[in-house]
Amino acid sequence: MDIDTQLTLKNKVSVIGSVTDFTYKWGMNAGLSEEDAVRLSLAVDELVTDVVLFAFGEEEGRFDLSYRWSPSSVEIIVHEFGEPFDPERHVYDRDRALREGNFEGAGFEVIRHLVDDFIFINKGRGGKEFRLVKKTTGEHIADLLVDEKPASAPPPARETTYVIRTVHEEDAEDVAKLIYRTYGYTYVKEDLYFPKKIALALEREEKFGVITRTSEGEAVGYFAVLRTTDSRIGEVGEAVVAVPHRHRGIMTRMLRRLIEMSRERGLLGLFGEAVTVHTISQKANARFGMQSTALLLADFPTAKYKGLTESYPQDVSIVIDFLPLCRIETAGRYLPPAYRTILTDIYRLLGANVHDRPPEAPSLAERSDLDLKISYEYKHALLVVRTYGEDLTDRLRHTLQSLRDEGMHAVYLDLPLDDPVTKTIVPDLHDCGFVFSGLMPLFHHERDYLRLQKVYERLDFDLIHVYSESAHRIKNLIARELQ
Amino acid sequence: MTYEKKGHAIHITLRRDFNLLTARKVRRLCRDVDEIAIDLARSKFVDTEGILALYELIRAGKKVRLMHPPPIFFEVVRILGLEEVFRPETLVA
Repeated sequence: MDIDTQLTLKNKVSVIGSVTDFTYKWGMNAGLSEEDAVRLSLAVDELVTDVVLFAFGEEEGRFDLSYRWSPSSVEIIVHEFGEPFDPERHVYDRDRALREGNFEGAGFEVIRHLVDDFIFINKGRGGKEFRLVKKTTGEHIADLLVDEKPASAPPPARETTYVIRTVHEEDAEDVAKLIYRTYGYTYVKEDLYFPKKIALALEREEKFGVITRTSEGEAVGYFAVLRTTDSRIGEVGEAVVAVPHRHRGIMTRMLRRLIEMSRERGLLGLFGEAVTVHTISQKANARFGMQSTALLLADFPTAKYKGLTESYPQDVSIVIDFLPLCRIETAGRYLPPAYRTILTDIYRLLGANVHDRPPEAPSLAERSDLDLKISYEYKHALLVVRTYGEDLTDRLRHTLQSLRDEGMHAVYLDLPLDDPVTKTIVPDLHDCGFVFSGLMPLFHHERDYLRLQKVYERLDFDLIHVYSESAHRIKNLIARELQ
Repeated sequence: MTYEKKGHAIHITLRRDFNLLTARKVRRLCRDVDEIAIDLARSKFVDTEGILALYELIRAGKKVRLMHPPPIFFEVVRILGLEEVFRPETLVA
């Protein structure tokens, strides 16, 4: 989920109406129903009113609103540097309201009912953040196919010919039908069951891809690249071929076309997220020339993984597999000594002989610039260091505490490898409980990042199945660090 | 916002949502009246500041009538547990 729109507002009562009107329109354009757009704009009204009235006392202040969109939800983040605040101390009491006309806490009570997630993050000297999340809704494809059950169709004639072409919004319903007929309810990306969400993502160019049809026009294959990061790379995230049409080279032909399309769009690399419940997806990625660069522990709760035929007793970890579409820049990187060897080897797999630069005197800003992305359903959060500041570890400790309180299972931390501070900061981050995760090539603004991770769940490493030699090395290193 | 006063009665037509700014104006306009009619046809919602203003007017013994309240109004009333104060049968004109 990337930032769609950002507003900076003064703490004046007059901004409230404008920001709620904007939120309503933005919500409608983001795919919310009219009722939900009203709910979201009312939630924002309540929050912004609270900030305007109380966050800065009598002082003049400014605060930011960030609007983020994904096919499945929208998120609005209100960030301010006002006075310290503890939401737990402002609880609405109906009896008090009726008796005394004291409505303290009423706004937060309303917000909690109007949105799907409402969280508060104390970032220490980095200010405070309130996050509102509203899920988008739409008609599930199963409701459009009421009399139809996922079933195996007879194999097509051998001479069946296929046409592979770019997928458009008009294909959305056929894509959803294909997913439902092929996987029933077990496909992990739930957005693909909702034609409206597919169409919206294509319309907003959040993804692009191909659809394969038989000469009779039946949709039998779909493969898409998702623009899920803030960089010119894409996630090979949605792929399906109808069972009767498998083993005919359709997937390979679609991937070849996708790589061409990715290059045409200026993408510098493609990555896949492969589950470690088994190694099937990792093997497929390896066949397509991808290299394993990271292992993300506890990426999502097992309940979210519907492809399992038997129970999996812990959160699902994933391997990041990466395929460069350009020559990886081999200019200097500041590799932390603890990870110098493994990062150098991963770079080599990607075709780059990285030059490890010597330590430099760190230049720290007064304040760190950290971006925080929360995956509420997957119960993990990603912190990205944009700029190192003197307050980094203080900010991290406060943020980690808030994220823990909000029930996150894992927190990932991305550090820019072209910043000299990354070379020396790792021991401090170990003290905060972080361990290695891997290399995230070109993952933010076309820069390479070292990913660390902090996991709050107990994991049995024997149940984390990895395929490539690189993934094995990464897993072994993480296991050693966690001991 | 437009309004028309007749004796001790006022008819207010809102042009936007019933929020903090509107609530402040409504309080000012209703100081010296006993009967208040508010047309909310152009309001998407009444926020808790608006509900508090209405609550204070009702508690002060004024007769408040709402025209075309948005559907979410009574949802918010339910969330806050204020159904006994904001009854559709006596509130909605």
